[in-house]
Amino acid sequence: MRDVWTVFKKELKELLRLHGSGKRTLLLTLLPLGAVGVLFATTWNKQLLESPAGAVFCVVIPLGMVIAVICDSFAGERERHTLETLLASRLPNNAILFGKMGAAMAFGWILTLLIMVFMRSVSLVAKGPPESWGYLLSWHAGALVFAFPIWSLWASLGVLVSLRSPTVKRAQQMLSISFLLVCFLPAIVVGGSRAMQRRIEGAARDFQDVNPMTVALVALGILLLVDVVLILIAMARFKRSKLILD
Amino acid sequence: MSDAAIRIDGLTMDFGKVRALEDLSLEVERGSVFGFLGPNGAGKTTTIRLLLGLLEPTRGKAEVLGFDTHERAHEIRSRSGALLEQAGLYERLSAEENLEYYGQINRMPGIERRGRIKELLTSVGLWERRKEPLKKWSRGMRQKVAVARALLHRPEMVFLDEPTAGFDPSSAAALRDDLGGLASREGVTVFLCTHNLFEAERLCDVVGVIRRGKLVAVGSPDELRAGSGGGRAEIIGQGFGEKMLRMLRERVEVRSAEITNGRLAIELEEKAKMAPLVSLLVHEGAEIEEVRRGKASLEEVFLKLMEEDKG
Repeated sequence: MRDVWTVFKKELKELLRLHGSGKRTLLLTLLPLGAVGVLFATTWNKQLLESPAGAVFCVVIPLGMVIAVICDSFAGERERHTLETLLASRLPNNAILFGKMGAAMAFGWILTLLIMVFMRSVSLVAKGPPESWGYLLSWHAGALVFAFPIWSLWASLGVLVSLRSPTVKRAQQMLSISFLLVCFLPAIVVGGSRAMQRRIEGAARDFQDVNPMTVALVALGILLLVDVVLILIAMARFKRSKLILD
Repeated sequence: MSDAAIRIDGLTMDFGKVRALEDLSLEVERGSVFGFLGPNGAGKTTTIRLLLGLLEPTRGKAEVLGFDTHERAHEIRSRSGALLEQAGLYERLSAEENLEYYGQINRMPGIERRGRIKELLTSVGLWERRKEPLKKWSRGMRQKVAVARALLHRPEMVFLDEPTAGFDPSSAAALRDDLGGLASREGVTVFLCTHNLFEAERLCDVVGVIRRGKLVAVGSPDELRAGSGGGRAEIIGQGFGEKMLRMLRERVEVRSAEITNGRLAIELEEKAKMAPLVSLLVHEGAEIEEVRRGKASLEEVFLKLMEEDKG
């Protein structure tokens, strides 16, 4: 655990120096996020802002930044010729893997939290207090809980891609394409098939009476299962000899 | 545990159809400085990677500090410091942060770690600049930090791949002294890959020469020089001519003879004696003022071994 923490701290420290000094990096990271938060808080109507969509939006928005960070993990070390020295150290494989994944997840989660705070603060000023604080906060808390397995999913996917990519750019391209495929391929498939649409509408009607908490827990369970599988694959693919020769 | 710091037995490494290392067998004593010489692509870096357990050999086995490189690589890496082909430093971080990171990786306690970082950065003249990010530093300055990183946790074994590359002459000399001291005072074993033959000659107790993945010579610099043949002789005087050169070249103990800048330079076969040659020259009318006999330098030995390959 101590080794994971060592790698985790160093990764975050490097992240803070992405654009030179720590202050500059923070500014360049927070400005666009703040702008997006302000933009949506002022242009969306109050009902939409207080709906679950508002919370989900806060999880999705930082995705691009997190992809960039994850891809930098191994491909970046390889590109900057620091990987071999790291592999020649006493650090166990899992410490390197989880330290890097943890840093990417923490980065994504912090960005999610920040964008929520931005959006809610601006919305509070521009649109007044919400109809129900309890409803709003429970959705946002739920989104923050869900953000963990979501960022873990992207972190393990990113690590898998990054492990074999010669450059950060290549890893980012691969992960972006995977993201697009995951998001849009089902929509295209469903959109192109009437039968599929009818089947989904039927399934949605069947689920109408199901408790939302149950749906959330099932979704969380599936996410965690996929996470575990991806992490196990990443662990199996982490071979020093292969990383050196790639 | 065995007495040898490194014991390699029939190590062979293939990358697809390319044989990078062929049947390498070698022993390196604890507390010695071993120099590994060879041209680019000879197999030096592959050897270091195998010894650190970063690659799995196709055949053969190796032990470092008594640990099998395949089974107990973690133990080896815990007890070793390494400066590989690249400095491997994080350029967004400062020199101090880089060393802090590797100190933490090696589980050095905070007080000891900070003291050691100060000691090492001071010794390479970079303590005052420890907070600067490495991004704008010269190659030589980074290399100094990388060497400091390899020595940081006082390892029993140090692997250094071209450590003085990019160093100015005085820094290179200082590092040589430090490495020599490490071996003699602290019993650290140094495995040094270098192209710098002067460095190898000055620093190494034993030198191995590798060519196309095969170890072609191993021994102390003195042994290698002696084994390279009878050495050479330089005769200063007057009256040397073509006829004398022809006569010398016909003799079995003479490999080559030529006149340069009025001096007669003779390359001799092993165990060749100078007296008969000097008598011959005097008999032929040469006026000899001085005869200098010397062994070949390590550089000459190395070049000769490489030429044999071309031949």
